[in-house]
Amino acid sequence: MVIIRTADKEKFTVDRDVAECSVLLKNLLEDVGENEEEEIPVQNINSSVFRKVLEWCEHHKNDPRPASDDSAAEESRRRTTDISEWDQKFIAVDQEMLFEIILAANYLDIKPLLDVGCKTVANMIKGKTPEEIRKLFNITNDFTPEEEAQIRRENEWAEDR
Amino acid sequence: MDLLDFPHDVLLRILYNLEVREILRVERTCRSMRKYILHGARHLWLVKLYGLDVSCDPGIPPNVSVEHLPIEELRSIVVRAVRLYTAMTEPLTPMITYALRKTIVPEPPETIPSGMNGFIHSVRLVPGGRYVFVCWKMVLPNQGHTNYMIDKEFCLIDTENSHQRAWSFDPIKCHGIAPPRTFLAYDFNVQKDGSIIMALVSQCEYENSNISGLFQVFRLSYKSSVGAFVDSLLYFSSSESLRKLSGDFVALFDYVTGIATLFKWDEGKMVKIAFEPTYTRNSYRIWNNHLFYVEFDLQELRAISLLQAMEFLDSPPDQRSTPRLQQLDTIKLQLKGYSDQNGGSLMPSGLTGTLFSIYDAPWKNNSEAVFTIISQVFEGLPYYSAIRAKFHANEFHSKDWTWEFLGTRTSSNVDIVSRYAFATPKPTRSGLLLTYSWKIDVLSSASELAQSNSFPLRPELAIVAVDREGCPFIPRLSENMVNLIAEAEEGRGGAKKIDSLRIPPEGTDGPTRSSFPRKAVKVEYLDEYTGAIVVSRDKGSGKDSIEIYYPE
Repeated sequence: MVIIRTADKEKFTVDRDVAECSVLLKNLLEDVGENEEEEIPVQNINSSVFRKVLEWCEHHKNDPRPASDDSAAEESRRRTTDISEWDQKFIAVDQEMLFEIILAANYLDIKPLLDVGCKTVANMIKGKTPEEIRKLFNITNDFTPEEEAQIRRENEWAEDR
Repeated sequence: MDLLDFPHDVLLRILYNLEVREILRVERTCRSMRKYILHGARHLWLVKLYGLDVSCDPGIPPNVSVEHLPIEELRSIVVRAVRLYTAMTEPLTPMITYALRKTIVPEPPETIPSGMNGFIHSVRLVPGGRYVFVCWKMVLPNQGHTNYMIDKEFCLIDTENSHQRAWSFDPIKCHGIAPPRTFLAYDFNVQKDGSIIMALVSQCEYENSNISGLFQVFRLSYKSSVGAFVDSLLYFSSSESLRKLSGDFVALFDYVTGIATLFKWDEGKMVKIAFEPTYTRNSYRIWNNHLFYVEFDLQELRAISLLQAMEFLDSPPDQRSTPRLQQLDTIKLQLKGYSDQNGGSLMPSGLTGTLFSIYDAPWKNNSEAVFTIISQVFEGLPYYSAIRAKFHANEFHSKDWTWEFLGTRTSSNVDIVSRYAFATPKPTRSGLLLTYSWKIDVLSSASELAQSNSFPLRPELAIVAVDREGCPFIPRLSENMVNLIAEAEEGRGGAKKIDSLRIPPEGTDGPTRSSFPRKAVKVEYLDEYTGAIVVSRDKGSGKDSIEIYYPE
């Protein structure tokens, strides 16, 4: 068991193999060795988000660890997999929590969870018009009407469907 | 929280999951997003490039590493490929839109005196798009009873450097006596080291009808110290009677004798192989180190033979004996089952439009290749049909080939219907095949066609495309291209006259530009890799221009 302290000072006692889903924690744990008394701080994550992340790690602790190949060719192959049913239910949270989970997964270096989060955001974007995407993510349209018309003409073929 | 607040590698991960058209919509949301995707997301476009569907070929020139392409070019390659593919496969109105991207106005060569009829005779893009080969011809005044045209210059124009010549060559100089008429043919490809290998045939026709041919192969290497290409002669021969160049190897086909001659440059030496076919109506394509050879007669395709040029790659250079061609296999086409809906047989007729192409599927690490034969079938409504085989790149035996017979995906209301192709169609890597053909106007059904005694024909440039399922179909071209082609066709009659015009009467000043009507616009060809259409235009003032239209 290891003890992890979140940004809001809450302490979590976690199975070592659950914590090791995170490449960051795994590396930290290697540094502290067998000293189980030592608390490991994760500064950027609040307890509510960390609890959620732990829930995911608990469920996926026996999954094979993904190889870290970030080449473009490998990346294009990786895109084909769908989100599993359990993950879909897990990630069905409000947008703020979704973004927090993504940031936490990125910080803790949990690639499969990061992928689940990013795919979920991508699915939210799919099939939407630029205006709908802006509304969804609170993006301010700072193009002039002329610029916008110009870009729309360029991308006209991509508009339908 | 805004999407842009995510660290960039997270944003990238989100974008990886979107299709190209969806990425373009995200681009449109705000300035900083557009800036990031256009100029910062290099890895995104690489991922999208690698993820392109096999049938969605981006048309990257050979020997150009995608890893080294600038991000803007990467994006434009991906967007173009997806867009072209989308345009071709939209079920309702397949349309290819062309836009004028480059206009080049090269200075005529100094060897053409001012006031003389120098003009651009042919233009070809070097893969990559920066350089173009240009051949200048000149009309010779008052030589016997007919007017003669000779090749004055063959040059490489640098479109990024004020349209300067990066290399130039006088095709007549090496013949000694200046001939009254010349004929020039050439082909080239880009090597791994960036040099251009170019094979050039020049034929001279003398007063006594003697013809002398000259075959030369050059390597053009770019010298940055000179700022131009420097040539070295790899091979030279004066004995060949040669007509055509093609392929990855330099291959020369004499259509009179049916003899094909293959050349391969290797360790600075040219190796020559001759090949004499058994049947004179035939057609060739070179793919990798294989010669594909198709025999046909008026009624049917007879056979496809696959021949391999041996001993180029297998043995070390010092042990290479005379290379030979080995016949690997002959495929007899079984045209049974190639029938229309009523069970009648649909044989390719005439076969004037029969063409075939072979291309590798680059996204399968070149391990798979596609062989397509497209022919025109005329039975009721004319349409294109295709016979297509996919095979493993290293496996040429016919038992492993799966042939599919495919009809054109046209319905009765398609108004571009092609019957005769009168230019050799050019296959492109995106599966497009370009051919000039006749358009049959306003004919919407078979019965209407049957009632019409004479075909209301008018020239049309048709592009036969092959879709995701491998079915050939005829996409529409954007209006600007249709108009341009119509303009080019109008001048066709005038262009033919130039060879047969009589000399002007005694005492006149000899021929002037206006006495030799030439078409003002000439569609040169369709570029194999990008699908670009190259056009030359006579501006009337002695300055010809070259226009390059890219599919958008």
